[in-house]
Amino acid sequence: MRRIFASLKFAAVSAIQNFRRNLGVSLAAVFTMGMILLMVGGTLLGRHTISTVLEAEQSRASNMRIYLDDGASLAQITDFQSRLQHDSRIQAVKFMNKDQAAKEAAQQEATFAESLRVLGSNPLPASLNVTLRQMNDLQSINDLAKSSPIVQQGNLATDYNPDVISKLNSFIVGISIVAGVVVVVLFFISLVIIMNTIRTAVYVRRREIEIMKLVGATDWFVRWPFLLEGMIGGVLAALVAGVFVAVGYNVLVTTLRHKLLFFPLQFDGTYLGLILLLTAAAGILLGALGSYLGVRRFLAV
Amino acid sequence: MSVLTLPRPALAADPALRPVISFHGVGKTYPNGTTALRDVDLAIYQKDFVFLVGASGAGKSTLVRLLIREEVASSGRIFVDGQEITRMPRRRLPKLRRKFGIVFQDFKLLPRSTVAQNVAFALQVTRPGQRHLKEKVEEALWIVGLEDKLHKWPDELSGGEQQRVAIARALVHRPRIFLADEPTGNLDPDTSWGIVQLLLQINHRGTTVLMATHNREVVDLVRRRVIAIENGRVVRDEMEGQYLKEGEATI
Repeated sequence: MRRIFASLKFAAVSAIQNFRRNLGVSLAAVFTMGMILLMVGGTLLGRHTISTVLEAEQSRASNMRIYLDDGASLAQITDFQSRLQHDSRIQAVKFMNKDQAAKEAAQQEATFAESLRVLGSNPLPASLNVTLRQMNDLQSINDLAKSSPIVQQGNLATDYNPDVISKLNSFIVGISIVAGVVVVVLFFISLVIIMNTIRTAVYVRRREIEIMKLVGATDWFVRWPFLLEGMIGGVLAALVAGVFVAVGYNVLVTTLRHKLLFFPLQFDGTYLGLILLLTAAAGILLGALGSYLGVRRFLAV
Repeated sequence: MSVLTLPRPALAADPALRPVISFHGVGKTYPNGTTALRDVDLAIYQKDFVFLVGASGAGKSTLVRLLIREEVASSGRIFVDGQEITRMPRRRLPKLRRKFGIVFQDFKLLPRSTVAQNVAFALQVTRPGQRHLKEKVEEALWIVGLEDKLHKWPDELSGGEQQRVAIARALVHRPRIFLADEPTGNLDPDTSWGIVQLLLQINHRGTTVLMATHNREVVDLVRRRVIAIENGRVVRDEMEGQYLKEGEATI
């Protein structure tokens, strides 16, 4: 116990001493690593945010709006609605009149009310909002809707877009792959940076290491101070990255939420917490691994 | 040349005494093709004080490096304290090295540590949490006659004093074997003589001493066992030897 404590104390004192003796190199490494971890965190958060948006979009894709002709009578509409309601492929149908449509638009876009006032009349059609049991049935329901005389003509019949689903899917996969590659590349870059920093530290202390080996210190005894030094750097880098990620995420979500109305951007605190933990773990792991590799060559005596 | 044909030191006659160090047909060829040692046989006993002499590049340093396993022999076997070391696994090397106290021509002191810290370093890194550290350090420095320089920095000391600090550091863990690789190489004759006196004292206290040296005056004056190496071979092993073979021409 006494020996373990003494070893730890020796390692900690040496590590801090190393860090301070090479303050310039150490800080440069911390900031570079911090920036890399920031990019990693940013990439992961970005991927998560976009995926969340896209998944919301995807679930919305099982909804379809059937736009009704302005000339349709209430009886015709009720008749069509009940026909849809009895269709086994459809879960629910909700009628939305022109006023409700205008109200919804006004909620989504502040300037709509103004446009409506200028126009003098409401251009938005009434609609039957259909929720399907399966997305695959969108095509056939779309065909069914088009065949009805009270539905608007041509492309205006529904908001169905056949490409949207497959596009969204491949988009999510694509973003995940890109994010994965970016993270792996950045991971290796920071590993190399840590290795080089530790090599500098080892070089500065080569005489001490030589003497340690000479008088019979074990490999791990020699290694620990450098591992600790790497881990200190990793933790500091994670701290730098964490602050930037948290603040940046907050600011971006708040700003973009007002600019990109169609994207349901969410501030996901749980995921942010996860990213911060991950960053800290990555920092410690990178620091330790980089140091281990950096010292290895010098221990081969 | 086998062990048996070499002149043996007096102690070897006693079969109960195993050599502290023995080489059996040891050869060393470096990766670049240079052969530093060929077929070396030798045995060194507990109370021996041995001068290892020979020209630069003859193989003296290689022999020292093989002993502490800084290099691995290419052929043959080496025993230290009864253990075969050429095939010793890496994790056991620290234990092996703790049997030795080693000093070099260039002292190898830590410039940013005081005299006492330099000596304590050897104990801190091998036996962390050691009790009575201060007393042990002071005792080692007392042996080398530097008990009043505990808090000096290495660059405040003369070359001879620095070598004494290195000796204290090599002694502080009470090694079985003391290795000195050209310990007087950087020192003037008077200072060198003082260092050798110190090594003789250490030997007198029961530690085996192996000193690789170029210093002819010292060797001829002390008249202890001399092992001469030439081109990687042991060419002479005498109990009360001289730097050069009797009758050999001066270089």
